[in-house]
Amino acid sequence: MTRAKAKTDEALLTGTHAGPRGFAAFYRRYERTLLGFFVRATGSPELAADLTAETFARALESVTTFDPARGRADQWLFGIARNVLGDSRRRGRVDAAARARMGMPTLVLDDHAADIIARLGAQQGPVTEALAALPPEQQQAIEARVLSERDYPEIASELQCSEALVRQRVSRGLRALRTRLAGER
Amino acid sequence: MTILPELERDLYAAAQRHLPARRSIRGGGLRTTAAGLSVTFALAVAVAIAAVAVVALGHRSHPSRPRPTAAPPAQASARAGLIRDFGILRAPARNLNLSPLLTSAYYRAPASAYHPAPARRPGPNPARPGRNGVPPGPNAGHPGPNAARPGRGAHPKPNPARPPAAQGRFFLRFQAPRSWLRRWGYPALDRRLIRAVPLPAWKATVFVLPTGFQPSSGSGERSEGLNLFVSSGRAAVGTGPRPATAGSVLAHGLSLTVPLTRAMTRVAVLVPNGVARIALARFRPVSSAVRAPWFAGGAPWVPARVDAALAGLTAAAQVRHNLAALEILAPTVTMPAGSSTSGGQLVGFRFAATADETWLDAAGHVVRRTTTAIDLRVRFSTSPR
Repeated sequence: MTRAKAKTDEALLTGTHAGPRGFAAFYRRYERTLLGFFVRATGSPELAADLTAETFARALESVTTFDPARGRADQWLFGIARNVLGDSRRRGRVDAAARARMGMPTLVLDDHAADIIARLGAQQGPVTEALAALPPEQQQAIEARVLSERDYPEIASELQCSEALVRQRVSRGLRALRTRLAGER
Repeated sequence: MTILPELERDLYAAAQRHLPARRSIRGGGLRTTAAGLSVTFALAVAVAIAAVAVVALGHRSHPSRPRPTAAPPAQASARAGLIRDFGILRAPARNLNLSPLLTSAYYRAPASAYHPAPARRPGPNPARPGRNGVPPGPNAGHPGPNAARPGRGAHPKPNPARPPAAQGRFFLRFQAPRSWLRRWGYPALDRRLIRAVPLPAWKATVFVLPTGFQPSSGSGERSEGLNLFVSSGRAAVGTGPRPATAGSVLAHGLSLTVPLTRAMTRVAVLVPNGVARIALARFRPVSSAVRAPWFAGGAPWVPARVDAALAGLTAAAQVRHNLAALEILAPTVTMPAGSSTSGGQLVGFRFAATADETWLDAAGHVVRRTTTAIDLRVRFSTSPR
C-alpha cells in the first residue's frame, strides 16, 4: 500500500497530499467503481470510458471547490458522474468540454480495456442484487427515476399509469431497498 | 494497475498544469504570512543598506536621468506574431466583427460586460449589455474606441489621444460563476483583431478570434492564442473560451466541426499563411465500434463496425483567408436488422474520429502533415434479415 493510498479521499483532494499525485491516487481508487457505474448505466464500454474521463476532468476542474465539510469525496465524485451522465443523455452524446478545457487528448480505448470494462458491468454489487430482488414494476420505476433521472410524467406516460402510481412505486421500492441493505449490514 | 493508464497519465499531466497555481493560493494561512514577512524584512534590509550607501557616498538621485525604455509587453509581441502568421488578421475589420451576439454566443453567456472598468462617458449605449447583465445607466462606461462598438465605423482607427491600453484591447468579462473566473482567469477577446470570413456555401460566417486569458487570483496562467467561432442561422459553435496557442495553430491548424447539416460533416480549419489547400484522408474512429444513440429509443443496440464505412473516405478544400471549409459526406454504417427501432432512418449521429491532414502550398507541394480530430457524422442503415 502506498503512502497516498493510506490517506483518506478527502486528504488526497484537499489536504497536504493534494496535487497531481494526490489526484492520480484518487483516480486509481475510483476508476473501476466509476467505469462499472457507467457501463451499467449505458451498456457500452466505450461510452463508459468516455464518461469516466469526462467525470474526472470535471472533478479536476472543480477540485479546489471541494469542501470536506459539505460531504464525502466519493459522494462529490458521484454527484459529478450523475451530472455528466444526465448531460450526455440530454445531448445525445458524451460531453467533452471539460477535457477540452483541461487540454486532455481524446481517449483511445483498446479492445482489451473494453473487455475489462464490459466485465465490470456484469459484476453485481449489493445494491444491484437488492434492486433485482424488487418487484418488476418497482424496479422499473426506480431505474427510470433514480438511475436515469427521468421526469415522473415521462415515466408515467411510458409505463401507461398515473404519475401518482409511479411516485408510489419509487417510494416503496426505495424503502424496500433501504430495509434490505440495512439488514445486510 | 489501472484499466485506463492513458487516462491516468492525461489527468496527471492536466493536474500538473492546473493544480500548482491554485495550490499556491490555497496554501494561504501561516505559510503565506511567513513568506510575506520574510520578503518584507528582506526588502527593508535592502532599502536600509541602499540608504546608508547613498548617504555615505554623498550621491544624490538625478531626477532628470532618462529611465530605461520599457520592454514591449508580451501581449503586443504575441499580437504582432499573430498578425505576421495569419494574413486574415491584416484585413480591415467590419461591422460584423463587432456584433454583441458574437461575444455572447461565443462564451455561451447571454449577458456580458467589459473588464477592466472602462473610462466613463456620458450617455447610455443600448447596443452593449451592462456589467453583470444590468442595463447600462445614464453614465455607463465606454470601453474604448468608437470603431469597436456595434453599429459604428466599419474600420477601427487608433485614436492617438487615448492611452494605448484603451486603444487596442477590449476585455470581456462574461457571466460565469465567480469561482470559475477566479480559478481559470479572465477571457479577453482582442476585439480589434477579430476577423469575419463569410462562407456563402454554408450560409455561415467564420470568425477568427484572437483570445487571451488574463491571470486571476487563482490562476497565474496567461495564455494567448486563437479561437474559431462559426455562426449561421442554425448553429453557433466555437472552440473557446480557452484559446489554442499560436504555436499549436502553426503546427496543426485549428479545426472546428460545424453541425450545420446531417448529410455531411463540415469542418472549418484555420491554417497559417502559405497553405493553399488541405486534404484529409485515412479516417479512423477513436473507438473500434460505435453504438446508435440512446435517444433513438431502440435498446439494446448492436454495435456497428464503422471501419469499413470509413475506408476510402477523403476530403479536400482550397484555403481562402487562412480558412478551409471542408465537407465530408456522412458515411453509411450498416446495422444488423432488428437492432434499430428507427427502421434505418436514423441519421445525424456523430462520433469522434481522427484523420491525416496534409497541407499543400500553391504549387501542390506538401507543406506539413499532421493529424486532426473530427466529430464525424454518420448515417445508419439496416441490413436485410
